[in-house]
Amino acid sequence: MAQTSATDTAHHDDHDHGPAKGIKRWLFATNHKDIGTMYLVFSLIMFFIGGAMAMVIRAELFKPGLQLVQPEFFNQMTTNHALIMIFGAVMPAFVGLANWMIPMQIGAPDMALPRMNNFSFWILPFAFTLLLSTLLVPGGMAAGGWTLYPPLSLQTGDSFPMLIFAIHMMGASSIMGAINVIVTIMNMRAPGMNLLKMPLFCWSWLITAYLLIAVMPVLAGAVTMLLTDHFFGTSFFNAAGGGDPVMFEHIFWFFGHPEVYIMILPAFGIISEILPTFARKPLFGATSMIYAIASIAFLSFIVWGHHMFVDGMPLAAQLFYMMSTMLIAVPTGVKVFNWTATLWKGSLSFEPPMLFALSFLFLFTIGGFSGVMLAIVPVDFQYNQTYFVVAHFHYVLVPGAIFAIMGAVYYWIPKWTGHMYNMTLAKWHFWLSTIFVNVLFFPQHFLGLAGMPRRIPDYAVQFTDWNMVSSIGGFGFGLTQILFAVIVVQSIRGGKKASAEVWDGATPTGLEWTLPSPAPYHSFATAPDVK
Amino acid sequence: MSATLRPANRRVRNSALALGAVALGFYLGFIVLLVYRSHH
Repeated sequence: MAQTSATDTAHHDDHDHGPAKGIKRWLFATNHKDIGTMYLVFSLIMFFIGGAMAMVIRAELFKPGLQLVQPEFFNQMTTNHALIMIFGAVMPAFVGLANWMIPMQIGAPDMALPRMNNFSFWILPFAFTLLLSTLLVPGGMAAGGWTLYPPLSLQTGDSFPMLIFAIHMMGASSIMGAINVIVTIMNMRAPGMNLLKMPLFCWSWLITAYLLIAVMPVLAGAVTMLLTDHFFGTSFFNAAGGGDPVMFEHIFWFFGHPEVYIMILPAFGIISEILPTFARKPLFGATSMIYAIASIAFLSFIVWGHHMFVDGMPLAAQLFYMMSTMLIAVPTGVKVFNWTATLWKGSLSFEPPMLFALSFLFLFTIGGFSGVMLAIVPVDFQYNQTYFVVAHFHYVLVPGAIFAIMGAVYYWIPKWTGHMYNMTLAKWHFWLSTIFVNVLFFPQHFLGLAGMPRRIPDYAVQFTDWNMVSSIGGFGFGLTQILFAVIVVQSIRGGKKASAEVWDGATPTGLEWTLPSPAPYHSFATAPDVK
Repeated sequence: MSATLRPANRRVRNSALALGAVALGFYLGFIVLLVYRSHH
């Protein structure tokens, strides 16, 4: 099956043309590498915009009292920081990596649906321009939290329909991207590459893509109903009209919890690629890793109620959601122990991708542990809506998802650009990021346990010290990321030539390392034979 | 149209259409579920 597909495409691509010239190359891009690059650049821009919003938040929280911004604007920042980081930075970064790496890892000439690939990227700049332009409309940006709970979200000003349309566009883009990933993996693998031989990054993305197709339409449905409640007199979530606001929460978190895994499963795949390379050992328990990812994906659909313990629910439901949530620790533990076992007696070296992967291993696990704490119903009653929750999900998303993305960029960028980057600078970037991320988020555990509520611009004076520490960590982390941009630009512009294997002396596995560096514009025009 | 497609391309097209239909089903399904719920 895969052979027929690859041979057909090879026939069309035997006139090896390069990219189009100028802006047309990017506007009409159908090449997976060009589209992957656009996704990654877009994601980096969004990372800095969302990061700027985080700086506003941390600056306001540096001292108690109101000093820099109005409370309404503060809430706009928290809401849009989340929307931009989730839908604009983390998700597009993973789609960019998928675009670059999946065809090269499975020996395919391109993604299966290149024009749809172009469309799914180009929707995003319009979606986020629309979202960011709400800053200029009367009433400002949405300020009811990224969860959009009614009735609060229905009080959003003129920006409301723009927000809903932007979310619909992001969802459509994600669904098209997911369809492309599944169709590519299922139909375009090189002959001999059966599913169990497929690299873990592709596996993690295959499962993520199914999650996306299942839950993004649910978010779209929920926000469509919000829209009709707002403008067309329906009462889906309006108690006065016989609707149920809590129903929105159920639907939102039926999307929202798998969304958490959409942002972490590809990171698991990346870590499973990097650790064996620099440990110079095969991944321990590779097949169990696949089953663990699939188990996590399945469990992600049945645990959403743990976000709503304080809403009130029957005891049986509380117990079900608590137990099922804690069950996620089992496959996640399998993964963490397998990664640790991969390192055991390995011949380790500590290049920047490895440093980020090791940091992920420690710090993501901290986020996982605080997640288990939050799963316990009576404990959640205490921690809900406090900074403990903020600390928890930022540990999962920043040294979790974002460190994995940065590790992936440091791992594969020599293959993309053909140049090695400045290792010393990259190590500085790593150490400063790791130190500052802990200075930023670890004190938030203390603040939460002491009772500081989240999503407020002011706080009681006893929370001042740790807030100052956290803000200093935030400014440090933000500034450090400028180094990342510098390293990436330097690597694009030049540097020491990278070999085909890139990490000489290490043992990278996967078809991408059989290609020269930089990878040719059209790779695997003839399907490779996988032994 | 489909008669002119190679088997591999047809498989790609059919997989994409099937997955798109699943996504559309989830979108409309949840809205229909809530409309039904609000009437019963």
